[in-house]
Amino acid sequence: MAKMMTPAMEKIEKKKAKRKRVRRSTPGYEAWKRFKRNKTAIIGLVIVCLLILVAIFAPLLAPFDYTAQDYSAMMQKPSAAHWFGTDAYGRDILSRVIYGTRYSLLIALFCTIAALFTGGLLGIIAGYFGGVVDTIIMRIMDIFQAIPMIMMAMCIVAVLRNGIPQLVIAVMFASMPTMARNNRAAILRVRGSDYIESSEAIGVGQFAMILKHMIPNAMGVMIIYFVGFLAVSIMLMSSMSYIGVGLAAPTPEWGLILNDGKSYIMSSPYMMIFPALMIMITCFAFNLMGDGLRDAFDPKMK
Amino acid sequence: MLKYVLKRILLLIPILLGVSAIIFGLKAVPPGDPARQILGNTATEEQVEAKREELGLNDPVLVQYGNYIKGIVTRGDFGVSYRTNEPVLSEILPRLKTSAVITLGAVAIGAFIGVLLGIISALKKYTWADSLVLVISMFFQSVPEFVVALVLIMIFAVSLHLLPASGIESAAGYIMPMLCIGLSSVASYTRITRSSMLEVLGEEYIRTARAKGQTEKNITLHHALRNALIPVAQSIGTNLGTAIGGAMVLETVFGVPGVGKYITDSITQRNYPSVLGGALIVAIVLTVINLIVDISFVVIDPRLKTTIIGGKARKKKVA
Repeated sequence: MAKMMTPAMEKIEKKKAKRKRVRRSTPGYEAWKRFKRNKTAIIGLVIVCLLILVAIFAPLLAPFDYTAQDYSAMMQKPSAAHWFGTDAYGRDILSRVIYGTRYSLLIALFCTIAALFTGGLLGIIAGYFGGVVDTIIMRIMDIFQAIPMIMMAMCIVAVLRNGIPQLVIAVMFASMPTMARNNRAAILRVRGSDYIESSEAIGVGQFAMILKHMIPNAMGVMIIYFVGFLAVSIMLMSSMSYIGVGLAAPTPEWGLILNDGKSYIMSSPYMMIFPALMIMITCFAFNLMGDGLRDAFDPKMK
Repeated sequence: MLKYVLKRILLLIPILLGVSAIIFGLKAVPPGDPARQILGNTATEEQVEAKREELGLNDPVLVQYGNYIKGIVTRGDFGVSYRTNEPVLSEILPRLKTSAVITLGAVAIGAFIGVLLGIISALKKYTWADSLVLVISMFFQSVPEFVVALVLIMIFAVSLHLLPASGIESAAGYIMPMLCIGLSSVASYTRITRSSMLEVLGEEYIRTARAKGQTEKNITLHHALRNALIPVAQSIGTNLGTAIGGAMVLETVFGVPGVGKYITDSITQRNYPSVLGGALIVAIVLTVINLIVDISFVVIDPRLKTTIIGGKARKKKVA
């Protein structure tokens, strides 16, 4: 479409283009440019995006109801009707795995957000205020860290019993110390910058300082930890569900689907192959993406 | 040196008190009356009340906590199992040995493979071999151990009938649990070995060794590796915690009668004293082992004293 351009219009166009170019060299864009060059990270990102799509469109993708028990089709091998076969109650494993994506990703997201709002916040407070506040918070975190992560989570589920909110609380407490440590370190990295000192000098308030000046600048590192924790949450959740200390049936979480199939591992191992594959692919994809993010946001950290 | 050791041991006390406070707090969460749990549903209200008094459940919380700590320190009383009425400590002790064997075996396997891959990766840096090593080790780190375990069971127990799928009646039963936990920690050893090897290989004395006409093999194994292994050895302490966590899950997967299986079984049986007592024992053992690891490294290499004492604070600021 050829459009007549007056000199004035050209000038405006040029200005627009220039503004675009200027805006594009933000730290975020630079990071994205570095991330794009990393092939394995892009593979991870594509897989994660696909998983998110599967989670969103689970009702459209799943050929059967994930709870529907069909006693005429129990323990069937993979076939045209049931691609991944059926379990001991005649439930379609493909549908359960598809819905499992939704449950696993969502619960992992809840766990990570919960950990961010407890451990992350404590870490930010410790890093910002320093001194006694820092010492008290971090020594308490040391105590929490003395108990291995999965044992902590298992003990909490043990007293609260299996279920989604209980699991979120358990993973939150278990990952709190690491989350606090990471976020504290992220804040400390920007704490000493000149612009923080300048903002202090012009009298920026404490909350504005943390929210407007420190967190945005520490964001890159925080995103790295956030993605890392999604993978850790999925690992913790599925491991715990598999040994029967996590979610309660009939939630179609991958670890639980594996748990359903474990009595039949000798006779019908296909029941476990597909959910196991999903866990492997998901955890690996999140880690590939996380590694790429680390290189992209923080080339020095490697 | 003595001052350092004493300081570290004193620092242990608040950590252990804190851990026991967390466990003590968790004891209060489960619904239901512990006294009734012990006596069963047939007991009368008076009997339950008497038991509550006997257990000290009517005392103020702080007094209860004090008694709890006193019981642990003086009598080794970590609680009594609801199911067997045996003290938790005496039930756990024989199982600790099994778990220790698996954890140590796993750490040994992980460190061995990890260091080996780390050396390859450092010597062939920025080649396809380097990338392959990093991707494979990362795969085992990111995939949950129990999934790797399931795949190994399907291959070695179901298809090939080489190893038992569960139990430790024969020594072969230990192989798969150790391997699964070990594989998951390979990545961390590989990374540390790689970066520390690269650093050491750039040192002056390596150049001197080359100038003297030493063979590359000799330089790698005797000059570089020995110095590069120090940070690797130090990381074993942190990896022990992860390995114990892995053992908790894998003992259940492989039906190994260790502490992990004891705790998961107790969770399914709603046997809270066993769960929490067991967790406390594991946490104490782990903390003490970490202390011993730290101290023994300072004994071996006194230079580390400054990096560990002063470095604790400094390291956190940088990391």
